[in-house]
Amino acid sequence: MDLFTNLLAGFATSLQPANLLYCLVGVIVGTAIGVLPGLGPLATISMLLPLTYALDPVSALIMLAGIYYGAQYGGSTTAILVNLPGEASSVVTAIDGHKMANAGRAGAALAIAALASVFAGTVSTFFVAGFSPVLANVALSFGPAEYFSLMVVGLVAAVILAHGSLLKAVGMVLVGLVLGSVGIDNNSGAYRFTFGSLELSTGIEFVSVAMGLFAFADIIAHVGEKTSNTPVLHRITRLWPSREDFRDATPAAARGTLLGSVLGILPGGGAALASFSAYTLEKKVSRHPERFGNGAVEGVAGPEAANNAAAQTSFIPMLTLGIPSNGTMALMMGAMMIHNIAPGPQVITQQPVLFWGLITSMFVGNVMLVLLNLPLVGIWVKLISVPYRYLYPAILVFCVIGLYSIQNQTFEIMTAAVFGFVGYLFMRMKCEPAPLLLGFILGPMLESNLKRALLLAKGDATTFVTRPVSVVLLLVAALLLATVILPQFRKKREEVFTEEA
Amino acid sequence: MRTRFYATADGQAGLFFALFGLFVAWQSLRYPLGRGAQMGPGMFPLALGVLLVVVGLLVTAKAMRAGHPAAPPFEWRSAIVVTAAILVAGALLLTAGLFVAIPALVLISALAARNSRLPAVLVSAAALTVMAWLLFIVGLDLRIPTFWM
Repeated sequence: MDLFTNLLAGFATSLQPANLLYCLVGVIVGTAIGVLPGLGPLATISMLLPLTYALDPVSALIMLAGIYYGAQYGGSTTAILVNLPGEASSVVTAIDGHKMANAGRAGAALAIAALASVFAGTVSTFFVAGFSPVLANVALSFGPAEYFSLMVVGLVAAVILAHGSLLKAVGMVLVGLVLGSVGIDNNSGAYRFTFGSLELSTGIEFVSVAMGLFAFADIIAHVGEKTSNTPVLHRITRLWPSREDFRDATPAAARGTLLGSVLGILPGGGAALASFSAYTLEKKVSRHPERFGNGAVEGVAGPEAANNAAAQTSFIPMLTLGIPSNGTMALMMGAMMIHNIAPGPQVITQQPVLFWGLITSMFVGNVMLVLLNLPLVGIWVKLISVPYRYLYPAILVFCVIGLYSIQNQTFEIMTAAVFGFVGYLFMRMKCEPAPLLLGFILGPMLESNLKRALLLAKGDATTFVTRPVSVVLLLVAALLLATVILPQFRKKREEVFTEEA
Repeated sequence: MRTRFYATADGQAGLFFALFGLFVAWQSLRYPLGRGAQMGPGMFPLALGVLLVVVGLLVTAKAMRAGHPAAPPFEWRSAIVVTAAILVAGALLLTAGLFVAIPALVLISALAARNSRLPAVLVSAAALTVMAWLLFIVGLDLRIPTFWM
């Protein structure tokens, strides 16, 4: 069995003491930062990214993946305990999870969330392991025209799933694409938009963009708030859920896992979409839908399983096609490129150690998450109650030194400061920054594939619609766009986002 | 009262996209455009700039039509103080060293918070500086001067 030997080889990598340690550190630090109210996975990963530069690529990615799950789980903890979801994917968890906490069952809610997550994480690890090689094989036959069309699908999906106005999301993708084109042009060697700056000739550092837009902009938005609201915390008395909780939660977790695994693969999909859909599903199949919103265990188990499963399977398009399906994956992809690994179908064959090591570490990381979080929950609770005025200077210090460490120069700090300011402007204009990041990462690849495809076709632009795979992909993109422009679908999309908000 | 479109979130976003697109398109004319099979370095950004202008105008037009609420007040103080704190820290890090840059970062950024008290700020500046020194210079061996000497 090929899959089996590959997984064994992967475990040989991920279970090495050093990698176990990095995974552990990643999970702990990720959870510690993720529980802080308002800091979601994107901000957490961009803050901690510089810590992984010194590591070898495999360990770095294992640690980053650990940070990602940790941050996500930390977000759910905050959502349950204080009803302050740090990110879209734990908004749904807050609905019933916080109600359970109000009813004195905070411990049970946290345990159910953790167990559902680890269950989903384990199942979807095999999903990733089984599905990725198949997809990579398909992608190996792709030429530049197919890649161009594939990226168009990815960007269109990112636009559709952004919150709020479609047009503004398109605008943000375009701004990202422009920012991605700064620096020396691969094909002609021309210096574009560098304005005489030597540092800009290698392009804008993506960590600067991410930290500015996600960490600094967020600080600007929250630092001036007059209320120093210390959140009301619930004492955790009993951690282990009751037998009825298990009976209700198990099928919900199974359904959530399945749904999340599928939704995670879709371009533009990911944790937020998965947890929302899982909640809706649970409400539909439940015999007592009136319990939802009043502390239903299924309302915690389903979405938590789904968002963890989706978090994992969203690695599939990134690892096999080189197309990040959401902002977090764009960050992970940027991290891989910093280590000189170009994500794409060749990763499985050329970097089997990295690929299978990363996949098996997903499983290891999930197990660690449960083993750690249940005993450590008291510490996380204390972290939540740290006042913001002590928190944000620490975040600033950490980010500034992290930015410096990228190239051992201060230029990245200055760029990030600018992006922080701009990010705050975007926030005020209600423009989501995640599509910008996707455009920024995909921009150079989109352009070079476009140029290569046109070169191969001798300038004939119909190449994109005459090659079968390419035209199918473009049709998919058109169909996706049509679904949001047609009125009945648009209404549905608006419903989804208002309920989420 | 009806809010002017340029006071709404959408109106400002539209204007931003359009003006940024205009700037990008204008700048990309400095680079060779090339032809179909041999696209020059200016072609892709030019296309993006033009698309941005179109998107920006559409967003602006929508904002003019509907009665949108005004954008939330701009937190000038926070935005300028935080950005300045980061810029100053960046400028001081290599010239004056970690033990000057980090306190500067913490102290300046404290001006943005409305409820900070000086003693608490000084303590957190000192604590964060020591922590940064232990973690990044002693621990991770980053090449940052501690002082200007």
